[in-house]
Amino acid sequence: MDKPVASENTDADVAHRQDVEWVRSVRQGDTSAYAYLVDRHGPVLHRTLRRFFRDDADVEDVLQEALVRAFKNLDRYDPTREFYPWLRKIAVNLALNELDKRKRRHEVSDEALAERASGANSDADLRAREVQTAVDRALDDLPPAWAAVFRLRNFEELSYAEIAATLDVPMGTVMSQLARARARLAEALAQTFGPREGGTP
Amino acid sequence: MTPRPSIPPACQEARDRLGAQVEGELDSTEAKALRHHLAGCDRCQAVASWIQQVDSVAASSVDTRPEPSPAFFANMTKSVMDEIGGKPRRRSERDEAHAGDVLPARAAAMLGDAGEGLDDSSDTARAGVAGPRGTAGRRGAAGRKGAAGQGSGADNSRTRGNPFGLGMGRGMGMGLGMGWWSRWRWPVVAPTAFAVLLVGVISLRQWQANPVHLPGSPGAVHLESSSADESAARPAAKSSADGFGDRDDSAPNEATKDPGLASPRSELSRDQGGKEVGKEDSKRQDGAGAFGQLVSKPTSLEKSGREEKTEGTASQATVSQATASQGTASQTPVSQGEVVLAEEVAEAAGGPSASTPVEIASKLRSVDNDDSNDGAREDRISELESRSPQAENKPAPSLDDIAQSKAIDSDNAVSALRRTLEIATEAEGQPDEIEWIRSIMNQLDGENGAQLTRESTFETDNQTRRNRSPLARRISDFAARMQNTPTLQDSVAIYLERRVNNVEDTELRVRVRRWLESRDEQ
Repeated sequence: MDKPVASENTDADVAHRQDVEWVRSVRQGDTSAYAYLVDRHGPVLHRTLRRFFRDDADVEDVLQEALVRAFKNLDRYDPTREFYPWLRKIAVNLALNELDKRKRRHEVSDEALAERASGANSDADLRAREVQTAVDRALDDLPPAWAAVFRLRNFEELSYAEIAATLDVPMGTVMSQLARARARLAEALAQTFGPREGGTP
Repeated sequence: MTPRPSIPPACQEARDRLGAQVEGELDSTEAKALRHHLAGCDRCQAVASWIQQVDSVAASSVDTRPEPSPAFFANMTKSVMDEIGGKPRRRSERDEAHAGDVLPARAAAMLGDAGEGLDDSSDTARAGVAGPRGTAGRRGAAGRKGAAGQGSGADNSRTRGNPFGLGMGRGMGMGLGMGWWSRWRWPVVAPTAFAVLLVGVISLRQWQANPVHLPGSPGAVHLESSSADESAARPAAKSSADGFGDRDDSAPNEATKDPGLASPRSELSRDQGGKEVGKEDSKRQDGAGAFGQLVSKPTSLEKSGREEKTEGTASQATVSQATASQGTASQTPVSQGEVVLAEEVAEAAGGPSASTPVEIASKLRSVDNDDSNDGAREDRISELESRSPQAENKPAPSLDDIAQSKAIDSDNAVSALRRTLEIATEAEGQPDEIEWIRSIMNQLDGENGAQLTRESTFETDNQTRRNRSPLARRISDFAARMQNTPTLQDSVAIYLERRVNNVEDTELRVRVRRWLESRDEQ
């Protein structure tokens, strides 16, 4: 579940209240107030979505769609909850839908991966890009829901509860999907980089 | 990929929980059960060790793609707002669409003045005076509405179809098709418009240097709008326009000689005239013209000499033009105080006569000049000029009136806004709004913006508001409070449009842009 608003005056609390004020303005008809929410949360959401897509154009498409959809469903937002998790939930589910569609169409394009792997400036850079490419490939081979759990946990560092809330699944499902995603990822990475200490399961 | 060996259900359940256990996400009961399982299962212990390895590999998988630029997010915001607002056109398209209006419009404004004296139609002259207001006054620098602006008193239907507007008719007969064509071919026409503008200015300068005294000058038009006796003034202006040369050469007057091109002051005069031509009747009939007197009279700033001489009020020029056109030998403009005094004299003499107060004032002056002046007249004039509207039970001018009176122009938006503030302060009206404008200007000027932001002046003592951008909130509220003062909104918008890109406070910048865009959408 989304975090309820803290009672103390933390930065997050202040930010939340600002969000709620802007949401209220939008609901009252001041559409332009939504721009503030977009400006504040768009960049963060963009970073999250970049973990789901290799192509920046896809990121942009989903980001825009998510922001528009959030606007259209703003009356469903619960002001007692934080705004960004609600927005992220919309965006992540849109991303998953898109990835599911592509998976069904067997759209596996390595162009973006190859592009991302190119242009390395140093050995360390090259290694980082190599790992990134391998992880991306491995995540692409996973069921989108598993990959999403892994991304949200490992890249977004969400708690299990936050992941469950974002994906609308029970906590147990998050645990099992994450464990299975890790297992599959370990296998894929072992094939790419060789078995690690302790072996793979 | 090799087929995975089947995992015992107990191990599968343990491994599903293993990650949570490693990361401390399990509750105590589940954690205890899992530890019990791990104690007797080597395979699951191995899994626990590589979980961290996988996570560390994933952690090293840093996204090396460059972060998008701020422009990307700005465009994203714009796209989203366009989509939810049903406005697919982007700002750049809008600007392009209207850019063609601006230069020709301004050229028309200038040329219109140059050719104003040649106009043979008082109707055209009146509307023409309103032209600059309609073109530049309303939208100013951005020119988003350009010549199709909503200048009060201007014939928008004419200016909308013809970016040269009425100025073209007055402006030395510039090609009729040029305005229309430039609307669609502005990149070609813009330089041409500049060239024409330049020629117009040079011509006017030459005419100024070697004056051929053309009647029907803007001064006559202004006299119409500012004189208490309009019916008397209008025929005079018309006959002057037709007669070519009734002006008294022996009474050269700067304001008459230069009908409005040589100084910023003259632009104020034109705009003022443009506004009043459109609104004068209704405003005067309902008695709302009290403000006209306020802004017409010399302000304390002017009296104290802080104001540049060329920046006198519109009415000063008007009155001085009238004075000159009547052949008064005085070099000094008749002040509004003198006019008020003359009104009193006229009233005491049995009501308004055929003479206008301006004429009476001129006569009074000449009499006073002839006689030894004991100073009583000056004292009375000073008293009249310092009299506040409240003291005369006149309604305090609204900020909208004040802003309108200052004829906000794109070239002097900032100074006009400041001037508006000064006069509004003098009028002691709407202190809240004045404070708001001032705070915005201070912040945007960057003079002490950072300091003001930190100051608690704009914040309550509520700790929770400390991290808010108080200015952003204030602007939001300010915009709401300005709903009924459209001209003031215009002036502020012009100012903000020029300054918004210099604002470092992201929240403020966003808020200002949103506000400006919402105005565009309206």
